[in-house]
Order: sequence, then C-alpha cells, then structure tokens
Amino acid sequence: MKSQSFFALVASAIVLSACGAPQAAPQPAAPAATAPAASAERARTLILAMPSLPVNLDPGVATSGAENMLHRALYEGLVNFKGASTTEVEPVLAESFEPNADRSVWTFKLRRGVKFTDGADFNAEALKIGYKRMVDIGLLGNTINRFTSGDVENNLVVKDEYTLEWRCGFSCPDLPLALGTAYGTFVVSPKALKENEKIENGKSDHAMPWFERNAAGTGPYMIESLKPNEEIVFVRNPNYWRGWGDDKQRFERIIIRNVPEPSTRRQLLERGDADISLITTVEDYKALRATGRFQGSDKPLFRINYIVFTKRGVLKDPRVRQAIAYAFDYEGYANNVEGGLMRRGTSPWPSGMRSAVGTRGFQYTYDPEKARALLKEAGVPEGTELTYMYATGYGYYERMGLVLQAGLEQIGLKLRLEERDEAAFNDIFYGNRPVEELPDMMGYAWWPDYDDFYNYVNPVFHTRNEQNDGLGNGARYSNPELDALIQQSKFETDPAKLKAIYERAHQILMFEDPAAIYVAEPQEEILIVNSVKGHPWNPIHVKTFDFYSLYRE
Amino acid sequence: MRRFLRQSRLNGLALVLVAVVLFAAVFGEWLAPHSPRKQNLADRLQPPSATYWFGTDDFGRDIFSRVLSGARISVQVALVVLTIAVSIGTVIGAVAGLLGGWVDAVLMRLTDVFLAFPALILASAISVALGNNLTNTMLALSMVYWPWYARLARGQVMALAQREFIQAARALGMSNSRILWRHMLRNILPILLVQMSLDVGYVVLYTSALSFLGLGAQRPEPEWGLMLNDSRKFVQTAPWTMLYPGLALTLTVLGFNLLGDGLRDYLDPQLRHQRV
Repeated sequence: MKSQSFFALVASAIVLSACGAPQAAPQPAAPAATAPAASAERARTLILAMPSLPVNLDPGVATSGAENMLHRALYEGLVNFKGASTTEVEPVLAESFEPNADRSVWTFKLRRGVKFTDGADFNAEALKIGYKRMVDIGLLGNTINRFTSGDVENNLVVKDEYTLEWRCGFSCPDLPLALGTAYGTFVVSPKALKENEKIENGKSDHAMPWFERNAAGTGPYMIESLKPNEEIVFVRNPNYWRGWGDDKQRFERIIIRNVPEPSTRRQLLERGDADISLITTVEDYKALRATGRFQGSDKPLFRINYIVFTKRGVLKDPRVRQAIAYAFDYEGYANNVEGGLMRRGTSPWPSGMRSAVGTRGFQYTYDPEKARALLKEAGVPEGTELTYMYATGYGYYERMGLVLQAGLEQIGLKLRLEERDEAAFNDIFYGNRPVEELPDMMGYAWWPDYDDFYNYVNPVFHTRNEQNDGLGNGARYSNPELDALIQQSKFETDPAKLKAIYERAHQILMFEDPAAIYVAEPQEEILIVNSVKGHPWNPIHVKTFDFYSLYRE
Repeated sequence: MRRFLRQSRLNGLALVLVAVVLFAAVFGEWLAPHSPRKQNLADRLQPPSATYWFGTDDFGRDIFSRVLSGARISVQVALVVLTIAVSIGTVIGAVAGLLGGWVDAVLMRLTDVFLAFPALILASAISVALGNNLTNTMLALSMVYWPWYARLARGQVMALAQREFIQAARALGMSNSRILWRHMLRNILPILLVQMSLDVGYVVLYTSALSFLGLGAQRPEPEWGLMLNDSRKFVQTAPWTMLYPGLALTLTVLGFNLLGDGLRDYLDPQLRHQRV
C-alpha cells in the first residue's frame, strides 16, 4: 500500500489547504525600473474580482446580474436612471422624449452620429429591429412587450431616421422610467444580427449563438479577450459617441476575473490587485469597510432575498408553507448572521417601492410552537425531508438555508441543502422542468427593472405562461386570484384601487398561499476602492456598473 | 503491552492519542457542554472562552461540542469502511489465492481495475455517482479499500498454501472451504488487523477530504472536514473556527498512523530480533 501515502498526502493537502493561503490570482510584481510605467498602466485599468463569471453576452438572453454587468459595458438603451434616483431618468441613446396629451404615445428623438462597434449606424430602424429581436426571443422582452401592447411591429413607428414614435396603446406615464432598466432594453447592431442570423425551417435563431460570445453594441467598451469562467477583458470603444475626453481619468481596460473564493477576493482588494469586488462574508465586509480604504453603500437595495416554495408534496398544503415561514428566525438572520447588513423582509416586494405594504400587512414572527401546531394540523409526519437548492458563490443563499435547516430541525423536519454553480442553478430555475422534478425550496433574489408593482410581481409570482409572465417564477407558483390582481394592476391608475390590489396581493403571497419566505432586504455587497469614483449606488442597478461613469482619482 | 511501549516512545504517544479519540467517540455526546447542532445566532463567532472552550462558529454553535461529536463520526466511518473492505477483500483474495488458475486471474484483474484509479479520485467519483452523504462516502471508501485487502489476503493465502500443515490438511482430504476457514483465516487475521490499524488514519483523512469537497457529510453534521470547509471564510477574522477541527483531524490521523507503525514493527519478527 505504498501509493496510499501519496494519496493520503493529496487528501491532506486538500483538507489542510483550508489552513493555508487561498489561491489568489496575483498580478506579478513589476521590476523596479518599470514600476512607474506599470503603475500608470494599473491606474488606467479597472479590475473586478467577482464570485462567478457566466459569460452569455447576449442582452436579449442572459438574465443574471453577473451577465447584466457585462452587458452594461457593451450596450446601451434609450435612457438610464439619473444617478441614484429610482424615479428620474436621463437620456442616453435618446436625445429627448415627449409624450402626447394622454401620455399614450411618446416621441423619442434619437442621438445622431452614434455607431455600433461593427460600424453600423444607430437609428430608429436599428432600434426597432433590436427591440423586435428582444421580444421575439421571448426572455427579456417583458418591458417592451408591455409598453407596446404586445405589438412591436405596429406600435414602434419609425417616423424618420432619428425619430421613433412609441405607442403604448394605453396611458403610460411610466414608459421613460421603465426604459431606464438595464434588462431587456439594450440595442444590438442590426448588421451583426443580419450577418450572423441563421434561419432553419423558417425559424430564426436571432443570432443568439453569435451574440453569446461576441458583442456589437453602442456601449463604451468592447471585448478584447474572453476566457469563459476565468476572465473577460474589455477595452475602450474608440468611436464611443460620448468620447474619451481628458476631464476624468476613465479606464482604458476593464478586467473582470472569476474569483469564487471569498477570502481570495478580500485579499485581492486588500493588496490592491482588484478595485471592485463582491464581499459575501459579513466579517470581511465589515473589516474592509473599517479600514477606510473602501466605499460601500448602507442603503437597502430594491431587492428581496427569498426562499421560494415549490408547491409539490407536503408543500401543496399552505399550512405547511406557513409553518416553514414561522420556523425561520428572521431577526437572528438579518441582525446576527448578516451582521445588520440586511433588513428582515416585510413584504413580497421591496419596502422602498411605491407599492410597498410592509408592516401594514401580515408579518411572520419566529414561532416554532406555532409552526409545530400547523404541521400537526396538516398531518406532516415527523422527520419528513425537504430539499433546498441554491447557487454557489453568493454566501447569503447558503446562510439562509442553514438558518432554515436549524429552524426546521426544531419542528421535526429535515432539510437537505443542495448547492449548484450558478449556470446549473439557472438552468433549473429558468428551465422547463416539471414541478415534480424541482427541489422543494430554492434560494433566490429579485429586483425590479424600475419602481413598479406589476414589473416586480408579474415575473416572479404570476403563473408562468407563453405571454412571458412568470419568467422569474422558478418554483412555478400559481394562484389564479393573484394572477387576476397582477393583470388588473397593469393598466390601473386609480391610487385607491391600486392600494387595494397591493394589500390583497400581500395577504395572498404572505399568508393565504405563501409563495416564499421573504427573508431579507440586503444592502449592496460591492466594495470599491476609494480611488475609483463615479458609482452612484443606485438601488435598482444591483451588482452592476455604468462603466463609463467610473474613473480613477 | 510493556514491551510495546518500550519499543518506541512514539508508541506511548500513539496509545494516548488513540485512547483520547476513542473516548471522545464513545462518551463525547454526554461530555459535550452544548448541542453540537443547535444554532445560537446571537453568539456567533465568539472566541474561546469559559462558556465556549473552543469558541463558536458562524451560526453560534459550540466548536468544542462539534469537535467531540466529530470524533464519533470519524471513528464510526473508519470502522464501517474497514469492516466492509476487509470482509470483501479477504474473501476475494483468499478465494483467488486458494483456487488459483482462471479464478485467480479474473479476480485479480477485477482488483487491478479498482487499483488503477487514484484512491481519492475513485472515492470522489463513486460518491458523486451515488449521491453526497456520509453513507455513500462509507460505500465509496469501502470500494477503494477492498482491493488492497484482497491483494494482501491473496499473497498470504498463497504463502500459507505451501506450508506443511496446509499440505497435510489437503492430504487428509480436507475441503478448500474448510482449509480456508479452519487454518488460513486465523493465520492471516493478525496481519489484516495490523493493516487495518494503519488504515484507520487514512480513512479518517479521506472521509474529511470528501466532506471538505462537499461529497461526504452534509451540513449541519459536525464532521471535521466539513467544519474546515465552512471555516475557510474566517481564516482571517475567526481562526479558531478552523484551528480546532484541523487539530482534531491531525492528531487523530497521527495517533492511528503511529499506532499502526508501532504494531507493524512490534509484530515483525525480523525487526524484533534486530532490537533484541
């Protein structure tokens, strides 16, 4: 058994590597003579260390925050949120926009002289083609679909080369606000689309395979290199319409690295080998903030971290879901496990939104006795095992699961935790598996495209269907009364009626037919080195950046 | 025992370490001052103190109680794995050695298939295929270990087959199974036991390695490898979360390895004579 010693050594190395230095990806130290040049180059380079790097670059397909971050470097939409505001937008590819009297039609004057990185001109026709593609793909077309009443072809009217008339089909005062989102509003080059589109049996692939690994947008940066799951490097788009004036030291290159190990991300920040990172451990986050070298945000995001229920097996009974919600220690989780960097969830949608019901509505407390009584009433046998699946890399999904596991143990249920990498998790969550093949619970988070009840609730809680509803409803939740309320809210403008809708929806989702445990509202986990300026910390632009606005001071 | 202790100072250390681990494995549950699984979120990441001797982890669980409970898991796994591996390996090896010919060839090629893979890789692959939990880890490690015992048993049986008392038994018309049962097993058992004592440490280490990789024990089990994995995040902020399970694992492996080495030397007639 001589070779055992070798294998034992390997095993030891794996186990005891926990005691050693984590695998960093350090920059090689520059020789002394070239130090100033190297340091100047470093100053002009922005380095991000992120916990995962899925690289679907198609802004019409990829739905995760990590991918959206990449899209924001490469693509643009008509408008963007103004700084940290969630209720004001500023023009980007639109130069100006005006509504008609009843605000059912908006006229967008488009910016002239803008080119896509493949040389194509940006104009009204390009915009329409790009938005039609978005809707035709069927993944991220919700916003455009909603505000064109499902008819892009006839409701986006090209009046002239740089004028687009947008007909909602109903009074839509929120249209510019809705277009401020970075999800489903970015425009791809019609030239790249045409050149790379493949049509089989009369069905277009919308050039999705090409756009997955390539980009042709109007954004400030272009791809220099891409190593899937490892690193992506962007360089300046030399023809960017806003120009690269010398007023600020904007970045020439952006390097985004996949660094799954939390302690390595911390080390990279501390050593100055990364400028921005996602710090998913509370202790690391607090320790780094305490150094005074990094900036973060103390405001809660427009985001809820959930544990969603799949209505299958014992979970079909709402009393069981209520019992599980009573078994979660909300305050202990938010205040201790997350060190006060999260607020306990009080509503199925963020408490900062205009539609929030919050503490006016039903709230759960941590009450294992009540949970036990509900389980008994529902006839759930002691020792029943449930599963909870979550995506790796973010920390809080796992921590939520572990707190729930301990809570369920107290009421006689077992919880098996299943970790998946983000891509595999998204395949399950956004895929088409039948409910019976899904885990009992999943860790998940959602934030709105803009501050709007319908925009938030429809993708997450509406029954998933062909009309693009329920896209983020990975647990396939379905409640006909809630569906009706969501649809009603879509066109309702009477504040009293809207308030009634919000309160009824809150009662259904929280208590009568719980869709999830609404665990917490987090604040941004991103830390940025103090020398990098220009990030507005907008609570809707979660984990992403307007790269053009960032500069080194 | 006295001669065993006199043979090397390390033998004494080995006995102490193994005794402590076995004591913790048997009585740890009663000795633990806190529940090893119960969370106390208000007391998370407390450094070692009079209340929490080894401090607490990120969910406020008492690390001392978890380390004690971990001893039971490690010892249990090692016993189950080695019992299965020795049983399967000895039967296959003995049959191959005794019958020889094509039976030997087939069984040994089967053994070679298992031995062709690095142990940890094979155990990981089996664990992944069967599903990640401690039961499957035990099955996986049993699959990794039986071929070594098959080889060992086969060699011993083949050597014994040439001995006069076995040939005499054959001449008297004793059946193969009777020879195996009555004469061979009792002769190879001490050698197998020494090998087992050497392997306990490795099995504990592999179990922790698999749990560390997420393939073995699952949360909230107080398994040492899993505890190490969970504490990696706190290497800078709360090093005690990593120190104690790491120390427990190191001392356990060291104890069983020293004991195995000591026993091997003690039972080796040549080494014994050299010392004399």
